Amino acid sequence: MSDLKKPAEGYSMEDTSQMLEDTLSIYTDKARAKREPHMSANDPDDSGCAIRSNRKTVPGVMSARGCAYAGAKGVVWGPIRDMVHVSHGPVGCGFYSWGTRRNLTSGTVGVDNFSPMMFTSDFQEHDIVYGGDRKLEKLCDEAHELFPLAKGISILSECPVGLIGDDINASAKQASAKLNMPVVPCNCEGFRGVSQSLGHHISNDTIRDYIIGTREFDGPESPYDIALIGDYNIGGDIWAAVKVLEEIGLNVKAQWTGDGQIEHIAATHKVKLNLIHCYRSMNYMCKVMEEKYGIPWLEFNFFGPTKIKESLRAIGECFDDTIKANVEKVIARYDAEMQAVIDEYRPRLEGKKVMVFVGGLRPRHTIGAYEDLGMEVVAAGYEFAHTDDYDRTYPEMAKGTLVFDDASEIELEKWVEHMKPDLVASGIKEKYVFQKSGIPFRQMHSWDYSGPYHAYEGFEIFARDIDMAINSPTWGLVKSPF
Amino acid sequence: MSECAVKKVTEITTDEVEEISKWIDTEEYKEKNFARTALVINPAHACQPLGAQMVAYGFEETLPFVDLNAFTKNAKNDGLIPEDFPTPYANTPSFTGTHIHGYDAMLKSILAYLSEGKKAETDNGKINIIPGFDGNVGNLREYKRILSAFGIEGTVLADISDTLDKEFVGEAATLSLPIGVKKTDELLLKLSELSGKPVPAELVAERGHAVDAMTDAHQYLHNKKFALFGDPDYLLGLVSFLLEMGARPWHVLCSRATKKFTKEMQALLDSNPYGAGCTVYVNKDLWHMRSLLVTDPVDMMIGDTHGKFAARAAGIPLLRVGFPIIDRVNLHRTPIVGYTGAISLLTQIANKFLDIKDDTCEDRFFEMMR
Ligand code: SF4
Repeated sequence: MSDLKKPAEGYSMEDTSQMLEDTLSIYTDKARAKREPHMSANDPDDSGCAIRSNRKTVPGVMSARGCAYAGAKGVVWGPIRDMVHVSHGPVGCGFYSWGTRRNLTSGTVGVDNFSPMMFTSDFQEHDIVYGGDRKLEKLCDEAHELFPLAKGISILSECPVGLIGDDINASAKQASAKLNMPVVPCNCEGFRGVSQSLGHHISNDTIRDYIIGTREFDGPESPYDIALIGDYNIGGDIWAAVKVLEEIGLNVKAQWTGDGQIEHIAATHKVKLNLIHCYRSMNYMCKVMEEKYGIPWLEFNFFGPTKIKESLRAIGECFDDTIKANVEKVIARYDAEMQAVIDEYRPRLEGKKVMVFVGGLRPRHTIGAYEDLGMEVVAAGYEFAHTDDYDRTYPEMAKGTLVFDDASEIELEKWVEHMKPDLVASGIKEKYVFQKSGIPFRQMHSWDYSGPYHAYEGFEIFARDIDMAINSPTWGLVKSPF
Repeated sequence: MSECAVKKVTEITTDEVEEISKWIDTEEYKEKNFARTALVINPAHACQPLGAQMVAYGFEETLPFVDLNAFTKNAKNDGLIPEDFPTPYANTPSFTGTHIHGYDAMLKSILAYLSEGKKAETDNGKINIIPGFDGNVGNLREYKRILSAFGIEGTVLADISDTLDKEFVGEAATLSLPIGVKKTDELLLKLSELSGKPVPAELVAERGHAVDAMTDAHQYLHNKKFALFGDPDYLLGLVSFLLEMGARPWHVLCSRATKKFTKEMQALLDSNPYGAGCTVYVNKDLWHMRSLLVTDPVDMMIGDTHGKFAARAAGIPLLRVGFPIIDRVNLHRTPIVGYTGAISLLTQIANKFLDIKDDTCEDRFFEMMR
């Protein structure tokens, strides 16, 4: 990227480095040595600047990370609406993740839409001692009988299943043959890997091994057939994104996996282009489809009008003049609407600073949306990103701002204290720490029960939410007059 | 990979959806559903670690950790945690019991750890209230208010009195959750007995207000049928309150309960004519509850947020009581225990019915007064 961001006012390489030095001084030598490479003052000109990532969290700190099971259930498999997703093991893993990620789905609950439900083998002591394989086969039969329109079953292993050495693959194979539908074993026990990221990877691999290529679309192919990858429909995101893509003339044949349908996903090898939003969680399958079926893929960003416009043009470049012309028409149509949103909110948000700490994509992808509102992201960190995510982040951030990985609660507190952002955008585990100390906060995994935030429709809601978080009159009451 | 032609993508038709939508509301489906032995669908219980965490949060400046045993040992060996730093731990396996067992195990562990070697010779005259797993902070504040109205010095802690009485000096009494008038009466009488103080005038007056409110509003609840799910303590209290109001508990579902609970609940139902016809279901989940609601309808369901899908399917309101409530604001600040709690429950239930009436009745029945 050629045009580097202008340095952020009030933040410098020296100051940020000093802050990190002070932060690290709270640790023992051992913990310090582990944490030091995970945080840095951003220097986009220095290609050597590299944050260490995707490593084991320092034991004992309060981490925001999730486990591999969380990555499989919450992100990749869970949003597919026409399958029964079984949380295999004790009740807790599935219970706490039930309905909390907000990947909305259409259809009738319990009839052709099962994502809002929670299915578990609810392991008891007996299952731990004698194994849960037979129970698993039995529960597949029961699921098939009670939910005849379900098009498949995913078996998502929780920690104890791996520890006792159950062979879910054999059980799944048997059930699949008997029920004549995909029964996908996903060995995503929480202890695997260092974060939810491995759960994404394992789940991508199961889609590769059990699903992709097993169906073909009915009806004629078109040069405009695409798949939308890595949009999980938080608060309706994918519906807002699909709308725009259809407006420029593309056919979204498969959704991965927000409001997804398994047979459509199975036929994705027939599309002409894979558009990927969340690179972190699904780049694996894009690469597989490219190698195996020659399908090109393109990363895009639907946060905020500037990035949407850039993305639409880049998407247009992959197609003929019809699509390119449509892109310009759509941009022109929405430009005025977006300007009205900016005119309304920007004056109240101009110059406000944001600290972002979320998953594997949004810390970089939302920067443009804040900038559209006149705001500046002064610190961006990821829970479970890899090197390629950081490489994509440095150029988006100004020199001297903070880039960090897998921060602990205490680190975040120190940084917020020092950098004084006007907004912290992070998750539920961080929310109350900051909100109760009087700092405006938005949950940026779940859109704080709002959304969609994607595409044009989403930007209007995003702008409204950011404005109300920062400018709510309730903040004026915090200081007591007595 | 097989050689045969790849299958085409098929779509579920609206006819199929309609057919199955009807089928899942039938008796036939209910029977199949209740015949299930392996698959648990929409459970109404969590696992032990949740309860243990809840206890740890109840002690100021205490951090809950998982896998404490090995972790703290290493940390102490390495000198990272001072030897004398308190690190009580409880084993709370996720595959036995529920969040309630985890709560009890952890609280017992903390109390045992903190009191180790400090066995009191005499009773210190204080009374501790151990409320058990309860996410409602309003309830906890209400207990404190009741203690202070009595002028009793005491601390609100968790209900494991039956395991503690051997190790700790002092008398222990196990009471059910004081929901409704009778159960609150029991608590106050017990506090009065233990402290030797009369029930304060303030609380006597409150009782009057509650009874006044309940007699005034009885017509809105009388004979209304209720489905309830949740933790045993809550269920016993709520059913007791409904019976006092002349309401009909109809489906009572507890997803993990002992025989003792079933017996106690049945005795409570048998003690009151309004308990007739009620069925108690244990080790069942909220997908079973859905079948019950659509085949044998009631007027309202009471339980935590997770009941909202079943309630919607049945077209009845859900009164949110229990843990967790993650879709309405502030209910965790509104006590449901004590006399004030009874008034609050009554208000919420009666007004919910009245709102529905105003929202749904025909114009000709839309009246000024209700
Ligand atoms: S780490 Fe293991 S036990 Fe915990 S939620 Fe993940 S799968 Fe379940």
